[in-house]
Amino acid sequence: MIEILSSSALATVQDLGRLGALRWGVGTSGAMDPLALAAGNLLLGNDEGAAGIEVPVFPFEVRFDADCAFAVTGADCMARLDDASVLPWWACEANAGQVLRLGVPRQDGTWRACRAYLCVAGGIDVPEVLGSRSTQMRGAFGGLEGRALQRGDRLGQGKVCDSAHPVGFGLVPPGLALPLQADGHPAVRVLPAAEYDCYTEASHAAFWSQPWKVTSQSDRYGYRLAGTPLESVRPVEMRSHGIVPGVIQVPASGQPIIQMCDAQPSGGYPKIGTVIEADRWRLGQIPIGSQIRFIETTWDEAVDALEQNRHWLGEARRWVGLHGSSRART
Amino acid sequence: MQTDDVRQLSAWLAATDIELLELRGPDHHLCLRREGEQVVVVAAEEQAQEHAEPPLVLSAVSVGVFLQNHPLRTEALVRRGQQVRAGEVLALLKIGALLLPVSAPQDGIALRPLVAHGATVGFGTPLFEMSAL
Repeated sequence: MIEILSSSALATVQDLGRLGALRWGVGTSGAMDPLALAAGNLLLGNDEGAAGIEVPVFPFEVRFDADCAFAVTGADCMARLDDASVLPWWACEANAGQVLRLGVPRQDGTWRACRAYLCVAGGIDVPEVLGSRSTQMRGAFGGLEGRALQRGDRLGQGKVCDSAHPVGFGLVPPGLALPLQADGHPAVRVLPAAEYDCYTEASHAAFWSQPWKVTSQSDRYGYRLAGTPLESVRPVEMRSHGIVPGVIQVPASGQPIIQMCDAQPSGGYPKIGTVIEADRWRLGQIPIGSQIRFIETTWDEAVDALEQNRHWLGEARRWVGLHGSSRART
Repeated sequence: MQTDDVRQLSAWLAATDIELLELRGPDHHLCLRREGEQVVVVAAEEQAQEHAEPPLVLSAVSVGVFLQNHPLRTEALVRRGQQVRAGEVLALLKIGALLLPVSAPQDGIALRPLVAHGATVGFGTPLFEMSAL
């Protein structure tokens, strides 16, 4: 069991998402940075889709009730286990009674990020709902009682698959292995969407060539961006229709909104583009207040980018496996 | 001795080509070392070590790339002269996507890395010197 000591109220239990339920109007939820969650699980010998805790507000503290292997991935938040420092993206062992504290993510390192993932051996054990343990905030189900974690909450661990799995090693984060920037700003690749042609040439140029600021009205539901307003050639009015995370909508203000993991499954704003699935993890780690760039891409490139993510995870899995088996032999 | 005095002495030292400044008084002892443009306070333990038994040498458990800092960070994992506890990670060895620790086998003082940051090393290469407490 781990006990939540912080009252930040925005940390949630997440796995890789509740896929396949959009037809019932149930959004995907899931980790904003799925690569970090999957890597945390790999470090512990868990299934990559085991549930962990997504932490967007710091400091964040938990106490371990029993000896437990854990890993903190995502943003480097200078974690400490009692008074010992804990490296980021590293498998560690906590003893019963020890307190893990995640500090404010560093912004002076080699990769800027804003969300940390706390994974434990066996995964966080909450009931599966529609095939996932992710917290569905809109519907108030999944995760722990369908809500964000509170001080005093206690979370159990799932069954540990491999009790001989080693600790005391780490992974090089994918933010360093798969960098993507444009003119010094973090970038994401975008496919033009259905209403792309409804915007003026000047707006197209601005969309691709200007940095967009992630405003403070940005969270797991969506990111509101600020930049040169996008103008349509003529007013665009549409009925509500199905949308997915990554869709970039343009409301009347001309300031785009990117739908994120807790997005509602339908909307009526025109869509200028869609951030490709392979780059959503990058978006999930963009700190509020920073600027991002959009890079135009194609379907084939988008599929290839997803393949590169899978390749990174595959290599991480292979190296962790090799390390585990070499430790088992000695 | 006041913090301001140490700062002033550091500034003077930084402007010279003198490498080491040592001050001894009845109730204080200060040792400053210039490292490029930076001046660092040399811990008493490290000075003591210079006269003590030979250091422990930590060697590579595998081939890999030697790293003095975590890839997400720009500062070294430990400072020279820093007191470290058994199991503490002093440096890293990168092998593919993996990071393996170069850790202190016992409590002691981190002395110095023996190879450059980013150097490719073979099995058994001496990587880091520390002294036992």
